[in-house]
Amino acid sequence: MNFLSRSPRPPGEQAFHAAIERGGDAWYAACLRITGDAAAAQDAVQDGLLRAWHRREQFRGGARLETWIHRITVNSALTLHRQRQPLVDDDHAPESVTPDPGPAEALAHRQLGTRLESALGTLSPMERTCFVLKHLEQWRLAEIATELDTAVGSVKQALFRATRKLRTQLPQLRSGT
Amino acid sequence: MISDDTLLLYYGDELDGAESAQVEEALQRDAELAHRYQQLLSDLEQLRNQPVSPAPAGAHAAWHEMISRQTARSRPAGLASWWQPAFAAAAGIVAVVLFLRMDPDPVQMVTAERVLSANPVVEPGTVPFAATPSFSRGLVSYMQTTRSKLVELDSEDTAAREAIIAEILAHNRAFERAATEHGVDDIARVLRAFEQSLVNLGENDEQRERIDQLAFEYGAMLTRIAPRASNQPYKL
Repeated sequence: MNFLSRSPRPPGEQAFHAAIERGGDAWYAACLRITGDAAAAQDAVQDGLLRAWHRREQFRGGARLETWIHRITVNSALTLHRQRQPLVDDDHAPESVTPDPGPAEALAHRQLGTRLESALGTLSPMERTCFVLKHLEQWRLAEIATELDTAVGSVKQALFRATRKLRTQLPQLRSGT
Repeated sequence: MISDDTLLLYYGDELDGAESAQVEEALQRDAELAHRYQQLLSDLEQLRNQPVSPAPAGAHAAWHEMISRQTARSRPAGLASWWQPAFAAAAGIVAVVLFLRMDPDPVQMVTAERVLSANPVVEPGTVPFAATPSFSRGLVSYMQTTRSKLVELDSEDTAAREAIIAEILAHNRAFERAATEHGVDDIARVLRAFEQSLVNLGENDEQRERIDQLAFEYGAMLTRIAPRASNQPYKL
């Protein structure tokens, strides 16, 4: 018997509890930034965590457990978000940021929590997802395109628009208004 | 003239070797471009370093609790082929029996149809009340649809199958939450058992058996609850 070829033991309960402590807030924040909805973000984390638990045999130990779970929860958030709000290639979307959201929209944005999340709320779903995945989650453009079932060019255009829009909002983000 | 879009791709390591070398060379000889690039980096850093929303109170506890529950259900790998479907079936049957014995209070019924049509994921406490059997009818409708989807699941490709399972999970969770919120615990218990089985569908190679088992369970519960739902008077 070749003991060296044996698979490493999958992470157990204690490892998952520790991962929740270390990574839970980051998982939630990532899911919130993708879905823009607190309840959906919680559901995405719950779903991703459950999937990670059932796939724990696949964890190879090359990364930290919370990093591995993070990716799974982000995928859950993307799936959930697509079910609720299908992403469309809005290549011809207007560049301007909505200057004065309505009361309901403004309230929804404030309830999102942080100022960045409010700013993300002004982007289209496609722009928001591409920006979050590329600049906050560090995905490759090709990965994003595959995940969103679209062309790399569409991802690039959405990313460019999102970046431009968010940069114009930086003064407000800095001042906290 | 190198645009900010190109600088963004350069920063994100998304240019090919030749394009990247071109930008590098331009950055060294063009002060204005270098300034623009520094500004871009600074802006992106500020966006990335915005404070993170912590998970709501209770979320961590719920996740810990879920892992503890899963651990309690864990078993040696060799038993996986029969233990889980058997557990799900037993839980379902027990819960159906309990459900049929309970005296439903119409005031506690919820309009799950509305929940589903509006949004599969609902905020706790936002499920509307109704003095109608809408919840039962919504549940029957959900179970009929789900059973049909499960029967056809095997003919779908992997991506479609995962999407369908995720959709069923979201609906199942909405009904489970609605039932829990309003104290219809037996229904919630059945749906929790189904959720466990649904999650397991995507996890291993014994899908056919599990799908058949789950479709059977949905069918069994449907048979028992459908007459109750349809016999209730409908009131707007």
